[in-house]
Amino acid sequence: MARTFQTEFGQFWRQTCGKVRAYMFCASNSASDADDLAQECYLRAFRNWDRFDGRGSRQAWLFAIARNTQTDWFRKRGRDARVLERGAAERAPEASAPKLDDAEALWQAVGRLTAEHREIVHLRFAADLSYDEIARTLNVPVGTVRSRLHRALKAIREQMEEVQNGT
Amino acid sequence: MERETIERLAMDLALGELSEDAVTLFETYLAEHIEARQWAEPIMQTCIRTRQSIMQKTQAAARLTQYEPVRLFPADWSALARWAAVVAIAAFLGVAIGRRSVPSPTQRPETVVVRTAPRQAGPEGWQRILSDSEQGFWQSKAIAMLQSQPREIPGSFESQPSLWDRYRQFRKERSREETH
Repeated sequence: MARTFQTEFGQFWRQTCGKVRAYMFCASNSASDADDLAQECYLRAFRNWDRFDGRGSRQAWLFAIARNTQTDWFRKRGRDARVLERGAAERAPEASAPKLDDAEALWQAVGRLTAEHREIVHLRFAADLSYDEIARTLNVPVGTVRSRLHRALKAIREQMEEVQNGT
Repeated sequence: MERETIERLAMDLALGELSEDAVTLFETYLAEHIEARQWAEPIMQTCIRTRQSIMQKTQAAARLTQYEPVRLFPADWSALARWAAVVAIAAFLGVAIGRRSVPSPTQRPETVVVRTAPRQAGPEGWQRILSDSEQGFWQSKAIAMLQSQPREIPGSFESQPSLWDRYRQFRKERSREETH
């Protein structure tokens, strides 16, 4: 029994650890913090493995834990909402560089989104979750996920156009 | 269709969230409506570029934390340590097996009686020895000769006279000569 659980958990970890780590990195913009957050997330998942009610996918359940882990972590570190709003771009050392390539400019544009939109973008593009999984993770309807993601992408595009026209 | 609907469908298409039938229908629609294609393309491009940017960032971070395994010993030392471990295990097994095995029966060494002086025997004793023994004439003769000439048995632990003893003996003899 214990052996089966260990095998199942190990397999689940191998399938999802890359996504969880990427999601954590997008939030913290630090590789070491992402490792700590991912470790904490899996520890919580391990402890609460039996509490999964079977609704939706196990992955969506894991990312709900990951999201709560992030929230607790930022709270513990004393980061207020405004710091989070600033996003990853302002924390990055390369942010002050005058010329940016497309990827870096886009990364910064994502960092400047609102927390709501940024979270959707991270869950979709870093964690590679489907609309349905994002909806379960955030506990919102699928339609809300679609509309938020659409607005987020529009905002990113507008920022990129500003960058291209302005510099 | 409205612009927002087109854009949302384009986003769904780029993210792989549309069914096969929906994909076919939407692509047909875009092929027929140039304006719709112009609205769809930017949002699809944004999807692709956002994905690429995030993947690039997260993969670069993943490379940063690929830790090298820590080597406790350099290459030569590790080989030496392995050999030392093998030798230690072999020694341990040898001792363990040796302790458990039954000791082999060994013969007691015969007690050697060392005599510093020949055994003294009276005439009766010699008579008895000679009469009891079934040895030949020459052997009996040799024994009799040994009895008559006491000598030191080789390998005995009798101490040799020291230099001091010899000096004392020499002094005694000299004083005796002087008195005579």
